[in-house]
Amino acid sequence: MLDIYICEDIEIQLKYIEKILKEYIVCRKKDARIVAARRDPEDILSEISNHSNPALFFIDVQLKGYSIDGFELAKRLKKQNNEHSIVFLTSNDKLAYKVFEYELDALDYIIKKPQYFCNNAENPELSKRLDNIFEKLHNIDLQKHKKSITISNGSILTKLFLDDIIYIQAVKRIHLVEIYSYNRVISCRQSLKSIFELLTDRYIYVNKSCIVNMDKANSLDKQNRYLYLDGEFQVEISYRELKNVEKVLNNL
Amino acid sequence: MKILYSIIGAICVVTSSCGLLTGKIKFWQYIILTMYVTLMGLLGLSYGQIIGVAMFLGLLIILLLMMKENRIENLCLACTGYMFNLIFNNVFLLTGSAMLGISVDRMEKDYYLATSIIYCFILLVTILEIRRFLYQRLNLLYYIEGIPYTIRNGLFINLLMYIIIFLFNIFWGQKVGYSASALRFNCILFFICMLISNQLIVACAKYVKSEEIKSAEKDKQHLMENYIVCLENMVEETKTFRHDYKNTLSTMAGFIHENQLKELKDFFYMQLQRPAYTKLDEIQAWEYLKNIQSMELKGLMFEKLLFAINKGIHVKVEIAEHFDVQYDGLKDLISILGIFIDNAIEAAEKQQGLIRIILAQSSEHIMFQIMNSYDKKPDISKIFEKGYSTKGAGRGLGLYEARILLQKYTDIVHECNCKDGWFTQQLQITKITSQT
Repeated sequence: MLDIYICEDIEIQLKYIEKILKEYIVCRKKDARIVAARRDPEDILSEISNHSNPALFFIDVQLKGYSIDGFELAKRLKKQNNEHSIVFLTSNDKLAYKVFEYELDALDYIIKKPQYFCNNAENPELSKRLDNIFEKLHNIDLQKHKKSITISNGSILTKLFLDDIIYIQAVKRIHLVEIYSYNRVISCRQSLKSIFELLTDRYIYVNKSCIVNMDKANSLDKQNRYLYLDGEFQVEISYRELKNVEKVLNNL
Repeated sequence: MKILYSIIGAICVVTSSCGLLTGKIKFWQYIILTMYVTLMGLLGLSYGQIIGVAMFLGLLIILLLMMKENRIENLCLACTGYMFNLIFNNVFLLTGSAMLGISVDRMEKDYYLATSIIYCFILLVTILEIRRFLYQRLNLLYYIEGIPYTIRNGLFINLLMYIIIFLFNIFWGQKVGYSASALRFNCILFFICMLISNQLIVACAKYVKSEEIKSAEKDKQHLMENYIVCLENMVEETKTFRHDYKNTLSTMAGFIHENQLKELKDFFYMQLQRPAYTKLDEIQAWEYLKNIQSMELKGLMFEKLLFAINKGIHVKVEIAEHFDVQYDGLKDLISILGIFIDNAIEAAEKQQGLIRIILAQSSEHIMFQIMNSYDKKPDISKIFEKGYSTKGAGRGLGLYEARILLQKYTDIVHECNCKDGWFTQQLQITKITSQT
């Protein structure tokens, strides 16, 4: 059961959001409940203090007249439990949301449009946003069970799911590898060897500067020694590894 | 006897070329250098002065290996010291002969041992005095730290060339049969030429530098002027916006006063339906610029935003408060960002697209994100290849250059991805925490 907390300083908006969420939970049969809807951020903090499960928070950014604003509240909550999910509420569509997403690792945000408060009926735009939020939560849950590796570039850590990686290529002459997945390429200052040690046996060297996830291999061009991969990638195979690659590919 | 002469000569060479170096050389290093020069000197007796060139180059290489810091500067000083030794030797002989009334030739032939020992002693004292003068009175070390790369290398090459030509001159001069006094005269001429050309190099480099600073300042001023014009336009825009907004409220006040609730409702909904204020994003972009602390980055962002907005591209910018980049490679970083933004503009321009630029920071890291919408998904495996471009042949050098620049920095994490219709270039840097 997912616990939901709401913090919004304007009474009428607080009531409205609580109502919408309640309706949404009932309507979509979500396994969730609203634990508290408060105007004062301190109330939220005191209510959560003896509670350790990751919860979902809807927090208004501007909390006028209270000791801390929404960002500060989010910061403190994240400090308590990094797995808390935070959705910001704001009427300011100029909000630098992406900046806060990076800073506070927020889940999402909802822009409070005046239209939302005009009609009581569930707003399609708003419920779509909520769908989005719940889907994200679901994905986070799923990802907990997915195998992943963490690569480090100095103090910057990046988590990569093993299933997503297509191939890893070392760049000639400099200490740099590039990790390719379907829609993403990320640079990394680790050695190819050290990454190889993190991987499962589905990953093999196709030449001495390239490791391929064989689950992503499609076909082999033996004449020109090319291996074709998902996402229209292709890599060259060295003479030495050709036999091995062929063997693994045929065993699939 | 020959060995003794060679040793004395070697001591002169080593003290002169090592005496002015920034760091102190260990005693065993002195011994090695002296032995090396002695050996070369003995070889020189049978092979002639040409060995001098090889000896000197070898000496520089050994010094290069012994030095840990200020390498090029120290080589310059070694060259200067050596050159000084050559000149001082001649001056010493000339003054000696003038004072004692003995010809230089006789001094070199009949009183060689005495002359060399006296010379060696005087040279030692002079070099020590010069060293004290340079380091204690002039505080040379302080100046050396501030010498720009170009001047340093230019001076070194110049000095080295002069010494090599100089040694060759002596060698060939002796072979062709120049008299000793002609050679001596040459020697002094060379020295003067060297001084003048060194001076010229320094002057030229300084001039170029000052020109650069001037043009940079001009650019900055130009940027500031544009920025001010932009701010003024923005103030105008907000004024209209506020006026419009007040007008709406007044109309509503009228309805309320007349108690025309039905009309009020209609009017209110109509206002809600009205498209959002179109220039808001633009104003917001300018507003966010104030969050950037670094002037260079602000300049870049301003220039690129102005460019994009003038092209009618919809730009969304988000910049964290007090966004400051303390980074050694700031210049390259700005070039890379410039390339990314240019590419985003080009891609967005074609399809009436959008650009998003996000500058965010956490407590430890700084992140730059440059996003553009696309209609044809770029091939992520090829975007950094030389000449790849979604815009057709002859383009696409930019990203390749960016990649070359990026490879220089081990602490920038680069990532690019295409997701949900956005192509994103992302850079992450670890913040430099100020050491106290």
